[in-house]
This record gives sequence, C-alpha cells and structure tokens, in this order.
Amino acid sequence: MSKQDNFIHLYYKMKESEKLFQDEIINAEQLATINEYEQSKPMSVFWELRTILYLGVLLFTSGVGILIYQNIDTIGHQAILGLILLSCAACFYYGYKNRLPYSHEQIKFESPFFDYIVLLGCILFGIFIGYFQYQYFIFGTHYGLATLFPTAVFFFCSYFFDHKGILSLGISGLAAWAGLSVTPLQLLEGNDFSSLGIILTAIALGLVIASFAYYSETKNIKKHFAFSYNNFAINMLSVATLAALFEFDLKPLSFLFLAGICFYYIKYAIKYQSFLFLLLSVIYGYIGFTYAFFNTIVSFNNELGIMMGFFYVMASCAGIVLFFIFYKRILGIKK
Amino acid sequence: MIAYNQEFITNIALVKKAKQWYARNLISDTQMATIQKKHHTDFYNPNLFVKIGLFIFTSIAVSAALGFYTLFCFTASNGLELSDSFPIFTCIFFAALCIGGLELFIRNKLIYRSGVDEALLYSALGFILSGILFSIDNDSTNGMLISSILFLPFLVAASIRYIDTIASIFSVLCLYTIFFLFLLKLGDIAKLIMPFALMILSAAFYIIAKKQKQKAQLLPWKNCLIAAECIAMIVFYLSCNYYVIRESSIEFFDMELAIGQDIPLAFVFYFLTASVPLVYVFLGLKNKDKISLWIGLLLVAIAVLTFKYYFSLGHPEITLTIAGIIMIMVAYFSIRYLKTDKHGITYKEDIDEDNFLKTHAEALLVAQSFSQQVHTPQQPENNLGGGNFGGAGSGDKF
Repeated sequence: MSKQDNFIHLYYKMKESEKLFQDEIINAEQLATINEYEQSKPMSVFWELRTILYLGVLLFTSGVGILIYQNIDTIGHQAILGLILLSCAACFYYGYKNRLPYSHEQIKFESPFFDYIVLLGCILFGIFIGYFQYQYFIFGTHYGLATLFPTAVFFFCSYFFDHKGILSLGISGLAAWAGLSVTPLQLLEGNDFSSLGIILTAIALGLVIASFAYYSETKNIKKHFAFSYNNFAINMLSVATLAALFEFDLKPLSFLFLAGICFYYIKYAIKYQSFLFLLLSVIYGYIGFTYAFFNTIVSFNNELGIMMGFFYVMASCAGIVLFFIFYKRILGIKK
Repeated sequence: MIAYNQEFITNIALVKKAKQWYARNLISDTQMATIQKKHHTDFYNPNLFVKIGLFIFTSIAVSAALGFYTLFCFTASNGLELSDSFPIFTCIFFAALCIGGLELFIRNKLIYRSGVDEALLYSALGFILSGILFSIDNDSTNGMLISSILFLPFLVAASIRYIDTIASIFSVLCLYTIFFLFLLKLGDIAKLIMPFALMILSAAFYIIAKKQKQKAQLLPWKNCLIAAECIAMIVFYLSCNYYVIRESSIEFFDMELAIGQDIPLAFVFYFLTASVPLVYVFLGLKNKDKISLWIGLLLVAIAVLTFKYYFSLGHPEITLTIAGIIMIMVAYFSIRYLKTDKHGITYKEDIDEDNFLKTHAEALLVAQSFSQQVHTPQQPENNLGGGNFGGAGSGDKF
C-alpha cells in the first residue's frame, strides 16, 4: 500500500498533460500544444452576458409593466390589448415564416431564438385571451370555453412548431379546464383534494394523458413529447390516489391502484432508462406504503407502536438507500 | 489521508481535462479512448435525482434510528431518571456510528458524492456539535467561543478526509467566528478595528487559498480551496459594506445612531461599498477568474441595493426600468465589443464536453476496440466513462 501511496503522491505533483505524456498516451508535440492551449485559452463570458441580458429584460419589463398598470387610466385597455395582440401576431408570423415542415419525428431548429419567440407568442396569446375575458367578458360566463380555446391553440402550436414548452402550457390548460390547476407549485395548494369529484377528475385526466403518451410512443408520433405527458400523468395520478387513500374509505382499493401506477411507471423507467420516473414511482409508492403501515399499527396505541414506527422508518429508509445502490441487480438491468 | 480511493479521484480530474482537450481536437479518438480506459473510476456516482433521494432517505434513517434509540432507552430505564451525561453519550455514540457507517460504505460500495456519504458526514458533524453544546455550560459569554474552538478541528478533519466542500465552508466560517469573538473581547477598540481586522483576515485567507490551489498535490481539495476563496471574498466585502457596518455597529457595539446620522469614516465605507465589487469584476476579467467575476457581479447588485436603501427616491418602478435599461445596454455593448475575442475573453459559448463526448460515442467505441487489439487489455470489462444507467441525467435524454 505504501508503495502505491508513494506513486500516487508523485503522480499528484504533475500536471495532467505531463502524466499523459509520461504514460506515453500523447507525444511531445501534443504535450506542447496542450500546454500552450492551457496557457492561452480564452475565458467565455457567454453565460454571464446572457444572464445580465435576461435579468435586464426581466427588470425592464416588470418596471414598464408597473408603470403601465399605474397609468392604465390614461393609456386605456384597448391600447394595451392592441399592443399585446400586435406583439403576439409578430411572434407567430416569425414562427410561421421560419418553421420547418411538420414531421412525426423531433425537429431541430437552427436559430436559437426560434423556440423563445414562439413560446413568447403563445404566452402573449394566453395573456391576451385572459385580459380580454377579464375586461370585456367575450366568453361571458363560459369560463370553461375561455380556458379551452387557448388550450387548443397551445396544443396545435406545440405540434406545429415542435415545442415541448408550449405542450406543457397546453397540458396545464387542459387540467385547468378540467377544474384543476396543475402548475407544480400549486398542485397541492390550489386543489381541494378532499372532494371526491376532483380526485376522480384528476385520475381520469391522468389516465387519459398517460394512455395518450403510450399511444404516441407506440405509433411513433412525436415520441419526445411522451416525457411531458407522463411527467404530468404520474404526478397527477399519484397525488390524486394518495389523496383518495388518505381521505376516503375503500383504502385497499386506492392502495392497489397506487401500486398499479407505481408498477407501470417502474416498468416505464426501466424501458426508457429514466431515473426521474424510477425515483418518482419509488417515492410515491413509499408514501402510500408508509401510510398503510401506520394506519395498521395505529391500533397499538402505546410505546410498542411508536417504537415499531421508528423502527419501520429506519429500516425502510435504509432499504430504499440500498435499493438505489443495488437497483441494477434488483431490477435486473444490465449496463 | 483521504477516505476515498485517491487514484479514482485523480482520474476524475484527469479525464475531465482530457475531455476538454478532446472536444477541441487536441487529442485523437484513440487517445481519448485509451485515457478513459486507463484512468477509469469505479465509484458509484448516480444521477442527481437519485443523489437527492439518497441524501433525504439517509438523513431520515439516521433521525429514525436516533428516535428509536432514545425511546428504547427511556422505556428500558423504566421511569428512572436518565443521567445528565445521557445526551452527550448519545451524541458521541451516534457520531461514531455515522462515521463508522460512512467508512464502511466508502470502502465496500465505493460511493463518492452519492448523497449517502454526504448525509452520513453531516449527521456525524451535527451529532458532534450537539455533543459539544450539551457538554459545555450554558453561560452565554464564552459558550459560543468555546464551542467554535472545540468544533473547528472536526470540521477541518472532515474537509480533509472526506474532501467535503460544505465542511470546508463551515471551517472557514468557524475560524471567522472565533476571530470575531476574540476581537469582541478587546472592548471599545474592537468597534474601531473590526471592519479592518476582518478585511485583513479575509485577504489573508484569500491569498493562502489561492496559492494552495495552484499546487498539484492539493488537487483533490481544489473545490474546498475554491470555496474558501469565495467565502473570503464575500466576507471581505461584507466587512466593508456600509449597510453591514452600520447595522452591526448598532447590534454588537450598542452604537446609537439617529436616522440620517452617519457612522465614523462613512465616506471610506461608501467608497469601499461601491468600488470593491467593481474591483472583483475587473480582477475576474483580467485574471480570467470566473469565481471572482461571478462574486463581483453578485456584489454589484448588493452594492446598488445598499445605496438604494439609503438614497431611495421612492419610485421602485422607475428604478426597475432604468436598471433594466442599463443592464440591457451593458450586455448589448459587451456582446458587440466581443465580436472578436479581446484580452483573452470571448463571447463564444464554451464547448459542452460531455455532449461532444456523447455525439462521438461511436467513434470512441471503435477506437477502444481497436486499441484493445493493440495493447493488452488490463481491465477487460469496462464501460465508457463510467456510463451509469441514466447517464448524465434523465433530463438529458428527453
């Protein structure tokens, strides 16, 4: 061991390029080139300047936004609506001009701005409809229609321009239309999961989205969209099922349903080698199982019960840690 | 000295460098493949999501073990009073348990920055700190100082043995705390010299960290030293920032300031508040030092906020708009100016080495099988770049 230590110690004192030279991986000429490159390589300030630019745009637009809000009486709603519509139309015109022909495969755009401009156009369109509805009630009291219309436009645009960001807008809109708000932060706050109607709607919507993702993947239609669909579906389904498990009777049914979801997505994770879905399934499954466990031991209302609880948490967490270290062997995945 | 396999750690750094050269065509496919093969790492280094999950679950497991143990002892004591040394003993026991587990995991499972090792290390440090706090008396005058002095060796040992960045950050902060509390003992004079003393200490830390960072034999601790450098730069600025000095004078030295009244030497501190961030940015650009540049940019924002706090015009929306315009202008003119590279600074995006590697995976594979025929294979079973299932993140795949 000491000999190896000594070797490593010597090894440490060299620069990487010298090590490679000594190991005869690179020749003297390359060593010189590499050392010269290391000496003279320029520092890229690409991200720094980009960040400053974005922050600047953000500050500027929020400042102008507040100024407009304060002076709404002098400017007037029509002028602002017109401005939004004009910018929106400009964005869509740019997207239409620069688009590539539709294909079921993923399309890569050359211009780095294309994605942003098309996304901006869609967001502006959403704002426009919302503003219009708020101020002039174009859809009257048909709030569902006011949500569904932009949602349809978002879905169309996401496929037309091959844009995953717009697709997420569309899915959120669809869920909002179904009486839910599914932006990640509001998933728990915004929804009253104690009502059975909402739980069932969420489960139905989740199932529809998951099946559509499955269909897209088998039929090879915009396969790369499947991630967005499944990401919404797994969270939606699991949270709704967990709520059903916590709040309502027929607990075994909810539990089995949750187990089914986790099983499906663990399979999915193995098939597409996605860690995110593996992690989400394991965590949601763990929450459900833990609830079931504590629900059972709640009848031992004494110190033994509490101790069993602590022991369960300790053992199960250790189990999960070991699962993630050995998951390849457990799930039978080869490298 | 290091708990982890040292050879693997050097290999990680070496392969990282080689990737940069490969992405710039300084070395060939065959050479890259040989480097990856010869300098492989066998660490279990999972994807970021899993790391977070492992960290959380390990922490919960440790807390549950603590709860289980405590409850067990209370039940076993059968209503008898547990002795005063029970909490101290528990802390020592659990710290030892965590360290033991950590060593075992590192040795047998080759974990490295996998969430498990961090969670165990921080739990152990937490138990040690609690043990120290339990064992010293609650007299508030010296308690903080003594516990910091007692805790410091553990933090330093953790940063050295486990090459942990966060432990090294806390080591530096702990040193600052000790220094600060010692100076406070000087009484009235502390009030005058505190900002300057902290600035001198920070400058010293910065210079030491910067010097040591260059040494090749300290390569494994490079990130720790970088972290120390950052902390030194930030504390240096904070100890000359007008807002910090004014508020801490009131807080620690019972200085009574009426609104609009100034602290002594105010103009010096106004000057430093404004100039230090700009100096950082300038030095960052001159020395091609990204850390200095980033900290400088961040502190420019803090300097602006400091001045706005004392000289506000009461129109935040106008401030926002003007700040936005200034930032857009700065970015726009800098981009224009950097159309061609100047002074070793470029606006071209850095090549994404990992991405480059992925697009050339096939060439590498061919090169590798080719080189295997030429050289005698040392490790017949080897995967490219430790290609774990999920690789560089599932987000990458989609």
